Amino acid sequence: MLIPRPAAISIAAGLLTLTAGTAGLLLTRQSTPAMRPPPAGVATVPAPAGPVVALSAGPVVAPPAGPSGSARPVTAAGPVPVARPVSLTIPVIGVKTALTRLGLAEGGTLQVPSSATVAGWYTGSPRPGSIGSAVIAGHIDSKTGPGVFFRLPELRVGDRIYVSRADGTTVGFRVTALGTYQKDYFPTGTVYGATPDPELRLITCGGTFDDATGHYLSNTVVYAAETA
Amino acid sequence: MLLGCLTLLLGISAAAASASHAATSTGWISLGNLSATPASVDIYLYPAGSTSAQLTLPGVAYGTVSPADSVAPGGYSVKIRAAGSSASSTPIWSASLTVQAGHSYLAVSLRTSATQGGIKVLDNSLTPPSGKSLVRVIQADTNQKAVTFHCSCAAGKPGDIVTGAAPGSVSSYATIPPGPWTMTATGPTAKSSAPVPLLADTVHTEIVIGDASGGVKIVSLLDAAGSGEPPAGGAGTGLGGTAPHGPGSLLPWLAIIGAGALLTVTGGGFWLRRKVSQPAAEVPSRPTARV
Repeated sequence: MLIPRPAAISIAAGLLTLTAGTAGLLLTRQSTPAMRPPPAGVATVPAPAGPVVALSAGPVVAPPAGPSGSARPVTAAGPVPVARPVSLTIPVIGVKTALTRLGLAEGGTLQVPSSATVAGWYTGSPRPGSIGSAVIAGHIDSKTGPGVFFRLPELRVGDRIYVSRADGTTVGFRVTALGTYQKDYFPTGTVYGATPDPELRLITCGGTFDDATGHYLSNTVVYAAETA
Repeated sequence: MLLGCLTLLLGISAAAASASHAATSTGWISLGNLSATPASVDIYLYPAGSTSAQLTLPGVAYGTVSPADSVAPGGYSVKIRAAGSSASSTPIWSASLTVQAGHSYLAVSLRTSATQGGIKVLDNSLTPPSGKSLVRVIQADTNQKAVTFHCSCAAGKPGDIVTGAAPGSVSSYATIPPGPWTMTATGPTAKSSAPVPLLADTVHTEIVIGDASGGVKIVSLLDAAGSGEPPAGGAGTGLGGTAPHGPGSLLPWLAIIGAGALLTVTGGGFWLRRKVSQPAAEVPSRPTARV
């Protein structure tokens, strides 16, 4: 018994289409994995050369010879101005980047660097090394690959961060905490609020990427305090 | 009695003071000497119950205050000895304080008169009103019995942060808009002015001290600073190039499957109809037997 040619063609085409559609449906149910581990070519970098200075310049009292405990100078002067930041180095995760200057974007949100390969200092925050929390932001990725802060979530408490300034000085910081927050609940007071000592905040994206909006849903924040 | 005249024990009362937003679990403490006599002292900070100093500030001159040091929450004692004295000698003054996480303290020697004084412990504010600056005044000159401290930022009397401040007194915080202001301290026998630029979201302490010639000076401290204009919400610092991406829409694939099913059913139906309608015509007739 022969199948008429039109029916055979229709059935064959139908079965092929059915098979292709089913295969496509099943294959695309798998999510695209995150890019891990870090890309090749990103390695640790050395800390910047030259002296790392503490903020507390001014009249300095010689350290004692006798008493126990750590000793430190005190100052009668007010806050000492520091130069603007020009570069950021985080040896343990291989970050070495120039710093652009960031302001506010429309709607009062934080302006972000135009390139994913550089970080930026928010000029509305204190300069790194002066009293208060200096804020530096950088992209975790571009549309095609890792950004300057791709490895920021790998930082751990105690890791060192260095900021070089326009006058050639460098100030060192020590990581004190990390946090990841949904952007809808971003802790503005914790990140931008007043502190009595020189601190640093590094901000990048994290958490789930929303394909519909083209944005990550969370921010990762690294907290650091100036090292003595 | 010199000992303990102004000594304060901060405990429950400190909880009411404003705390920092800091993410860390530490507190901070600044130590200083605002007593003209002795003009130079050694200041020690001990963890409660310990005889080993955690921090030592040697030879602290009158009118000097240390930057804020990060310290673990808990009990501490501050002891002040004349400069160069043995660390085991009896201190001139001592005070106890309880450091709470997120709080910043100022512990200074301070005199109410030439013969009376002690250690004053203050819980600094770390929460200036948005866009404003907080300023307080410590009157640390025993030669000036009543000091008026004026800020140029406001016209008339409201510009006075404190009036008639006695030696050893600490004013409450005044809320002041940012600007390049001039502060003026006026006592019965001396007056002094100093430029004090104020930035938004900062906390300041202005200290009135005496000088060797009987005049007064203003020492300006920046106690804390934040971002003058905090950005709204989080930061858009990622475009997804390294993120895991979820599966796309089901609809295109369901449409293809539907089309395939339609083609198959159509073809099958056509075949079945032909199969049902053709048997009679296609079966050859039985040949007739011939006799």
